[in-house]
Amino acid sequence: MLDRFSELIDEHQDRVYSFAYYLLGSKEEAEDVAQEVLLRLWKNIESVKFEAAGGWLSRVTRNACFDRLRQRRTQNRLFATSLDTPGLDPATQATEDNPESRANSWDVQRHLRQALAEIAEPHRSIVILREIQGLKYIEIAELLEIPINTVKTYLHRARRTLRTQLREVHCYAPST
Amino acid sequence: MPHPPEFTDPFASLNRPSDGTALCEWVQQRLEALVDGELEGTQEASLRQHLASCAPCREAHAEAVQLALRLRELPELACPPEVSHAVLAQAAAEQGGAQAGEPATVRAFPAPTAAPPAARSPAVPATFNRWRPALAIAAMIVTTIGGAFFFYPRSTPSASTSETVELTPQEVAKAEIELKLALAYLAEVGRNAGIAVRDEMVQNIFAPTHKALQ
Repeated sequence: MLDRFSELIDEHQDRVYSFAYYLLGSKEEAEDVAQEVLLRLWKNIESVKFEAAGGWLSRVTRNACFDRLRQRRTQNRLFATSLDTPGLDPATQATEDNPESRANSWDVQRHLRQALAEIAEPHRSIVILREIQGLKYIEIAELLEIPINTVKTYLHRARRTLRTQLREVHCYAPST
Repeated sequence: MPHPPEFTDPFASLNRPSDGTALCEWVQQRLEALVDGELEGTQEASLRQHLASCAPCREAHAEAVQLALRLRELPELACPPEVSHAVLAQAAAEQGGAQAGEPATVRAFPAPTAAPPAARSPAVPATFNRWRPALAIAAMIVTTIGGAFFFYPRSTPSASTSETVELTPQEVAKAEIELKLALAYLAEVGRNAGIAVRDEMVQNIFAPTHKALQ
């Protein structure tokens, strides 16, 4: 039983943590959520099918993050104050060799994360699930229990918002 | 070089709007799906045909592609190892407890690894606990004075000692200041220790004796 659990942790922990981080914008809270969610998986290890664990974890992670976001709202705290963590150091994340383009890429990423943190739910969840976690529309629809056309609509709105915000900051519209 | 194909109403069979502006809006609402490869073949071909002839939609499409690329560059972050370590340790503990017939419980993060302090040292008498601060202070005083005695630099080193360290006047002055500060700190610590000892004696010796005499 413990071996199976350990295997599931190895396979899914980064995904759980990333999802929580991008939803909450806080490294510490993402760690708390990851621990909470993985422990919940352990409690339900007998009822969760191995192949369905990814979807189950995404759903539980999202709910756990929403609980925290609701707590934040009640405490009237500002959202996303510590997005620039050491784990996202530009030197370790960028792929371009040119220092100038590396810095530019880091700058865009920073603004992108900031813009992502500012868009409303469920748009943010859908963008993260689609773009960072690589889920298909149908998988997102099943996960969030909403129609697939709603997923498309929300994703379109979210991306349009992001495009607008990034255009204002970076004017990155490519040449045509 | 071939000219781009002329606009030939690619959405005739797709219930698309007939008005030009509305058509562009209709196309742009499907750009995300086009970027994601989620459109059906016919729709995708039609949209691409429109993009070839419409500069604003083409620009919007290029932006959408660029945004998707940027978003996909956002890294999936590595979960800190201490998270999985704590979870696995707790799971192992619970599994061990469950096997031994004990009820399994989930603790809050971070998982506690030891019993509460009161249960950790049951052999220590309560009186020792009451005197422990004073004893600790006394031990610190002895250690500090002993250290100062052994390490305090002497201004007139003995010529017969081979291990004598030559110090400059500045170093000696600095050491003297440090010693004075240490002594002042000790005086404060001693004062607090005295108060603690006095309170203990009043509470445990004088007050009971006074009460007994009355």
